[in-house]
Amino acid sequence: MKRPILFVVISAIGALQLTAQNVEFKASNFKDKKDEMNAIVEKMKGADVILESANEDIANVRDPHNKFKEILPVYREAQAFNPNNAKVNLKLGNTLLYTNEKYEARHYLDKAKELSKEMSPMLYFYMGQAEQLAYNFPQAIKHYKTFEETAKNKLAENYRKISGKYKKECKFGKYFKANPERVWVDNMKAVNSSADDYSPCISTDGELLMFTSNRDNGHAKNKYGEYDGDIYFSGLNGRKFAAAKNAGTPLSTPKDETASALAYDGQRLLMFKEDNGNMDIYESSLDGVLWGEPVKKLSKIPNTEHNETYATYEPQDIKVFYIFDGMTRGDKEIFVSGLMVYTIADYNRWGKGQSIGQPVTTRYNEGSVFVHPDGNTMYFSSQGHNSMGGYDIFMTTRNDLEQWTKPVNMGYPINTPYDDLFYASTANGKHAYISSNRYGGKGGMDLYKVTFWGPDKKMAIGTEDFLLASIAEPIQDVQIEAAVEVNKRSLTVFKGKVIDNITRSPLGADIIIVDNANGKVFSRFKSNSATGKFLLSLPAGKNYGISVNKEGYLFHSENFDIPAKSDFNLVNKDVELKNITVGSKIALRNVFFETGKAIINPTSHPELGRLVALLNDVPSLVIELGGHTDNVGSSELNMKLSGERAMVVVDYLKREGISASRLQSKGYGPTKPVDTNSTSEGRQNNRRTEFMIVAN
Amino acid sequence: MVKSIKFIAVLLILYTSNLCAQDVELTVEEKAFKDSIEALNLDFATVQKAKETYNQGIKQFESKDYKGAVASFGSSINLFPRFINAYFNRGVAYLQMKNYEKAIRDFTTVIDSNNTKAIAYSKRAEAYGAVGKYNKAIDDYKATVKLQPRNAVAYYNMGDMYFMKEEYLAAIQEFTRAIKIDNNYAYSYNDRGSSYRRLEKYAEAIMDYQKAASISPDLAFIYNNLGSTRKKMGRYEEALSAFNKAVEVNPEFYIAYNNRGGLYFERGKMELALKDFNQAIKINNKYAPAYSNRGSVMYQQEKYKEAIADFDKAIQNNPEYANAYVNRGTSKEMIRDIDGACSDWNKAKELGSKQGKKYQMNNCY
Repeated sequence: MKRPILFVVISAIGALQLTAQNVEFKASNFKDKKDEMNAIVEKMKGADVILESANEDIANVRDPHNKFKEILPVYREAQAFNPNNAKVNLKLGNTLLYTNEKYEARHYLDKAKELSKEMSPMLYFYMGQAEQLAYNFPQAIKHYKTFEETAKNKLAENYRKISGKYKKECKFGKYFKANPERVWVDNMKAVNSSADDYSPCISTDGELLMFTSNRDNGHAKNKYGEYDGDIYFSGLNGRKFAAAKNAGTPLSTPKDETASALAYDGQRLLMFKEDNGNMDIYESSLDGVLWGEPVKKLSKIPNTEHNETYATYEPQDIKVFYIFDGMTRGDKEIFVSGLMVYTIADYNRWGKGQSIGQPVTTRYNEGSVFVHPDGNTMYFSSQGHNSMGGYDIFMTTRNDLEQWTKPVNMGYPINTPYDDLFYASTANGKHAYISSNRYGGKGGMDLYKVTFWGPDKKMAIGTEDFLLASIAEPIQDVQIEAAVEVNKRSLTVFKGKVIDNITRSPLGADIIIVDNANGKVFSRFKSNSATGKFLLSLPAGKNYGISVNKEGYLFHSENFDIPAKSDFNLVNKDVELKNITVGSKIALRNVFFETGKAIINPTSHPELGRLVALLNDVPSLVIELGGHTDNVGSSELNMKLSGERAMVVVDYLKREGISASRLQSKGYGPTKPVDTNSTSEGRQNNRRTEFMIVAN
Repeated sequence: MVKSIKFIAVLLILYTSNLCAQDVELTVEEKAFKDSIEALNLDFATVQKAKETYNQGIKQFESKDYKGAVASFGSSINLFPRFINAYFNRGVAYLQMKNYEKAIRDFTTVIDSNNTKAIAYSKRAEAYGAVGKYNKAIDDYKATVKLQPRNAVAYYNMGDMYFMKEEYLAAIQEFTRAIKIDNNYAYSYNDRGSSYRRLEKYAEAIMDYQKAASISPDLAFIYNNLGSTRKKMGRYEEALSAFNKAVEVNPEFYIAYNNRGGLYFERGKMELALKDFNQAIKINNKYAPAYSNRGSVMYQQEKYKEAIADFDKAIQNNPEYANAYVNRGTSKEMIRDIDGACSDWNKAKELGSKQGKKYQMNNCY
């Protein structure tokens, strides 16, 4: 984080001196620090030469190597010494644009602009780049155009091509920014350092990450104040990579080593390091948990006196793709070398490297290459094609004719106007690891993890149907068996005897028991002729009529209740029969009337039927129907009611065909009680319809 | 019972022909007679009590006190173990209580005592169907229609059992039999339509649904089925009009609102979809699919927090609802909670969601 802090400090100073004038490096301006000034001016002279050469490289698309890195401290020191010099600010801005701290450039360029009496065309050129880095693409294009319009012949000619390219980059950038890819790009904070962290290599299972970093490793610093590059590794802990550890010897030594690709199984590592003043490709194999001494991967022919650097495997393991800078034009390109003869004896004979060619190769630099485990997809970084600035990462696939197709920019936010390089992906393609010097990192190049959202994830929309009607609206068929009638059946023993009411002798009489509730005969039997006795069981809780009949006797009838719940379970009924002699009076106990009315209740019909039968059986009988009441109520009314009731019985008998001449009726009211009127039982006995035999 | 009556008759005959005792006091025979009558009265009282509790059970059943009814029928059976109607009624009460195993046991008792009682077979079939014993249910419905060859409902129910077994051709055969007996049997048309739909014979399905709707224009679920079948055929406008009809016929039919919302969602009409999902929730605030679908609208509008809140509610109301897990996982991914996302997708996978399985496999390793 040291750079951003410096940046903030510088910003504060800048703000205080907004109205400042340009201050030349003159002794008169630095009277107290003349020697210091002279030393700085001297250093700057050397730096200016290098800067010019480096800018030439840029204009001609050559690798400026470490030129900018070398002069950066000089201009930083000069600018700190004299912050109000337009040229120094311009040079510092210019230099920063080609380092990993590009985002710092803008501040110094703004300062240069403020201090300049007259705008230098180059300032527009660099301002354009600063705007491009800030995604202000239309503004950037405007600056590039202004540069082209104001630059003098030679300068314009030198930079025209590159300025034209930058303008195109702005067009692409505008498009990519507006159409972002479905990815997340996250800084790997746990792994990164404030120094450069780059060239991520991943095992196919995604669990081992190796990369290169020039972070503090305790070795001596080089002339740029940087440590040598060492190889680091980190293992997956859950979903995140843990803090990195130095791989140690033999991979990391006090010299520069750069890891460039892990074999798909994570058991071998391609790397490059210096040999005889140039970079060559080496390979190390994992033996158990230890990495072996790196040996040159390619035989002498492809490992030339030029630099062979970032290399990658391909699944068949018979080719190596790598970055080569030995072309006459001086830019870096992707080369490929293959095993010439695939025999054990000649195993290590690799063919001369050749450019991968069109349409992948450009006249700009290609910076890294990675072949996906599928063998037909290549990711590489390039400043060319439709880059939106600096290096961008591209993808190309191999078609059926074994040709690489037109590369496709991986798009924003994988790519930015900064340098975006390297691409190491897991087999399933869900994650990839890249490096970038974009703004917002920990400093220098940083590692970033790319997470692809993958194909648009459709929401699972749930709809339901009631496909079965019986489920939608169940038929409530809760038919159950009906209630049953609970007849409180208990039986009571019913016994008694029939005797002559005068002689008291037992009589064998015909007995009929009628259920008065329905008028049906319940039982029909004879009393024992010797004893007059009878015995049977009757369902309790009912009212019965009993009629006892014997020839020559007046038939006997009465009604009785068998209580529902009888403690005795025994009912005794003795019956006395009367001879039919003139003057006998017989109460019709089973003739009922509606209360207070002279209307015969239908339940009386059986009894009346028996009377009709008697009159029919004994045609000589002449009877008087007498109505009797108890003594309750008005005597007059009782007389009237008893008379009317006697009358309706006569009417009934007449309707049944009995001659009117045999029937008389009379209402006696309470005048002829047969029992006491002082008990309810007695009164019930007194309320009766009676007939008296008048003649026989 | 029959036996007891016979017994009394024998006694009566015995004693009416033997009414020869001499005294007011009970003779030995009279005493014996009285004692036997008393014993009989005790039997009568037990049966009477059984009947009373049985009748009480019916009253409890009618007032939907099924637990009480079961207890009453049970004590009735205890008093009088051969009271077959009590077993039957208890079986129906168990059905109402969804205590299917006990219901099956009671109906089996009824059938064992009277193997011509068709309703006992169809009731037992109902219980078998409810516990997924479709083959046994089908056997019982077959026994029912053997006794009652014109019992359209039994054929219909048998069709449903075949449908549940995913034997749609057999189902169609039974529904067709039901329709032959009763050609105004809307339910049978509907369910036959659904069988055709499962066989992807959409044209036949639609014809049957339309016939069902013409017979019973007041049954909203038929229009809903019509709508979702048309949607499957890509006939979106017609599907929409069917869903419209479904909610017109029954404005409380949340299923149809949810379906119409789903149609709108598929057609990219998020505002209309949202309105329908809201309406479904308003009618039934326990309906998990509507919450999940509303969450999907939120997701589409990149309101991931709101989306997750809705998926939470869906899961709260139905912890087995796989779609909500799939969607919540997808939403969690967007707020960079990849562990949460993977755990949701995994749960969805466990619940049988292919989508969940796919997302889990593609994103969690």
